[in-house]
Amino acid sequence: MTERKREVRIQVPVLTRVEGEGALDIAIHDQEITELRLRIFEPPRLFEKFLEGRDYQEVPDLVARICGICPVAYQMSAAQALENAFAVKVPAAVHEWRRLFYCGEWLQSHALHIHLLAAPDFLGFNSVTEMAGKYPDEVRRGLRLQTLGNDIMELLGARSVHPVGARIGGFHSLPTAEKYAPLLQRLRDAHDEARALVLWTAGLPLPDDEQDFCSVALHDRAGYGMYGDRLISSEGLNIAIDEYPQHFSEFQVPYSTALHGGLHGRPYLVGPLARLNLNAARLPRGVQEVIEASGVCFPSRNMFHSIVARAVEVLFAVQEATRILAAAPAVDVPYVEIRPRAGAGVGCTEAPRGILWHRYETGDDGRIRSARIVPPTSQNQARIEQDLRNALQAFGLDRDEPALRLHAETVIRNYDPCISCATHFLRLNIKRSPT
Amino acid sequence: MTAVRIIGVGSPQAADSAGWIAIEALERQGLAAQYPAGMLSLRQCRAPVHLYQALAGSQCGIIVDALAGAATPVLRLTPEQLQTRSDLASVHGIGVGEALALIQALGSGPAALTVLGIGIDVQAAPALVEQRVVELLPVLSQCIVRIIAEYVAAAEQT
Repeated sequence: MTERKREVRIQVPVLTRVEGEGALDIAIHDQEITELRLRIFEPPRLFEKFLEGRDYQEVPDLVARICGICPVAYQMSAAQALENAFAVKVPAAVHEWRRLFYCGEWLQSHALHIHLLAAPDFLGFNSVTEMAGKYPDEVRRGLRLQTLGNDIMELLGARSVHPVGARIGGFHSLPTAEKYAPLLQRLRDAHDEARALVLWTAGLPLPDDEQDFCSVALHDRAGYGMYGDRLISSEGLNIAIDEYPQHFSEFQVPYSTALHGGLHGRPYLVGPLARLNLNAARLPRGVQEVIEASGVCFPSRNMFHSIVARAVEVLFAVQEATRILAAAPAVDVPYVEIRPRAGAGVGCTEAPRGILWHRYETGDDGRIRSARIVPPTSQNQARIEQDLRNALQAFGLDRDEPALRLHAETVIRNYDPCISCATHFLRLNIKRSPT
Repeated sequence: MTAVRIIGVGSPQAADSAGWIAIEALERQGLAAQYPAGMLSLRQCRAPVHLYQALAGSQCGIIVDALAGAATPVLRLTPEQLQTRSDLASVHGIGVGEALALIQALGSGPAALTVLGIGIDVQAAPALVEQRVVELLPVLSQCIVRIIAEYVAAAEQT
């Protein structure tokens, strides 16, 4: 008696609960994955080209439009890069306000992903609306934390979506004590909720799926890194951010409008889990104690601990924002005057989803000659595909198709990919026939 | 905290700006001044996911948003009449319908919740969007006044 070999083809034509538009194709032949493609078909955004010829002062507002979820990251990486190009150093007090701005973004982005996008997967719901019926308090907590983050962004950026408060050299203006005092109280009130969130995520029924991967994050001598001038990895890399092109490569695959990233030719991970894996010891003691109480240990090789890492960063962002607003660093003029010059500069900051690397070349007149932006999701793409192969194998390729499909989607959503951010690139290779 | 919250959803871009333009026009018209001080407020909201916070503490919520289709004037809808997707594609995909469904699932929204759709040609140039909203403003105002009257009458009965 012969047995027919099992052929499975899983097609997810539109990935749901991720930012942007992508699809997944998997072919399984006789218990082996023969094809796996995370297809990103959202049209390229071409922002680097839009920036060419623009005045440097326009850059923060332009790059903010790349993403509605992480505009601050784009503004801060761009500001850092252009300030480096113009040899400008921002005063420590202004830098503290920038850090607060970033706390707002981490808070809103992570709270949103945990509650609205990821948690329904682990609790067996199709959507947050379904989940709200059984977990209303948790969903309300998520929305409150997200709102708090949005309000911090609005405080410094005038609005939370595509904020306009940042400029090269600092901010256009800073809030008065009267304006930020209520926010400081709300931040203090949020500490308990943020602690509870860490413990809640650690208690979710997360799959146990240990994998080998390389974590990459910024190293900040001053603390847990949102900023930093060095990039480190779990495999011993320790380089200045402007050495990025010598170690990291981007390459195109035929099925994606976003480039894949490689560190010395191999996939790597950026984002909250990578940051925790490399920098947990730099977190404030109070945050470390909550991690210890959660029972989750970092570094972790379980990719599904990403949701716990996000929750830890929510707690950190709440505590850090409280610290900064309580001290309210005094600033006479909220920005440094810029004298543009011809040059080149690199900036790299930790967006909610991982390192966001910018490089600009400027002319004497301060106009942008060239721009290069490497967003976190394109860096994670190769790693997501590698994870999918490992995770589905561990899950069991003999499972039925709906179960495999759901598990694959859960793996992808776990990265909080922002496809809209990633699709910046379109390389055109022209092959000409001899005439 | 105002009992009646009128929220225009949208952005400054083209047809999507109808909700915001309507709120600005209602402010210029002095709508809030027609009611006791502190009873009514007007707001603009960019992302529907922010409606949870924008409606918090209100008892009567009126959402004003662009409605695709130039032939439709002002359409009064209940949240249940809005199309929702259970498998929302992204946060950008959380529309007014999904956001209101979530608010209702949480039992957090105002008791009276109405959506007023302004019929707009999605291809319309910005100037035409403004013109359309101005044309429809009397109808929109009448709808709002009627909804508030219904809310006040119901509140007096309880």
